[in-house]
Amino acid sequence: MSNKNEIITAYTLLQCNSCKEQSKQKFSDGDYVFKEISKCSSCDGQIIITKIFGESLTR
Amino acid sequence: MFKNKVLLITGGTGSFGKKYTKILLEKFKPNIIIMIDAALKLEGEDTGDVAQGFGAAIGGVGTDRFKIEAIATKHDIPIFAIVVRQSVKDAITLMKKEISDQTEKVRNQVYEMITDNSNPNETVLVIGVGNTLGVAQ
Repeated sequence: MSNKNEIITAYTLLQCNSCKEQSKQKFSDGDYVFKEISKCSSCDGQIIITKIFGESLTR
Repeated sequence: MFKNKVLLITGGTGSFGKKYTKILLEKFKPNIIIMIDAALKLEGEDTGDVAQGFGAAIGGVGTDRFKIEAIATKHDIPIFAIVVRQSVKDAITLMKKEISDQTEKVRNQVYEMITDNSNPNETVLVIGVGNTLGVAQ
């Protein structure tokens, strides 16, 4: 049964295509899977969005 | 153009996807077809459970499934299916982490299906049905 107090927050998972380092941030408008974000700070790879998903918090 | 290639169609049930898939099936005659879709979870099953099977994995009243299987049978093309379990609510709301976390598992199963069931230089058609791959509609 669904919980009425369940709050789902959208997150965007970023990953470097070279060193595979991952980071998670809150979803913002315009995010889409495979979107190129920036150059990786620890290597010369490209950071792209690999996943967008919702995580639920229950009060 | 597509001979001996792995083809991935996302949105295989949309108006374009349906027609394009039919053309690909009839014109290029792939050696195997792999379909990936969401499936309604039953009581006791968890959101994000992954299952494998045979036959067209596609929802709806069955017209699309019948047509795809009829063409595949006519050309003697085996169809393999991978489904990710979810509830009705999961299907119409933001993709949950439990489902998103299955990406690597499903990808590995697709690779395994391709390597186990086709030979080098054969054509494989991989169909992500509907919103399976998280492509926004």
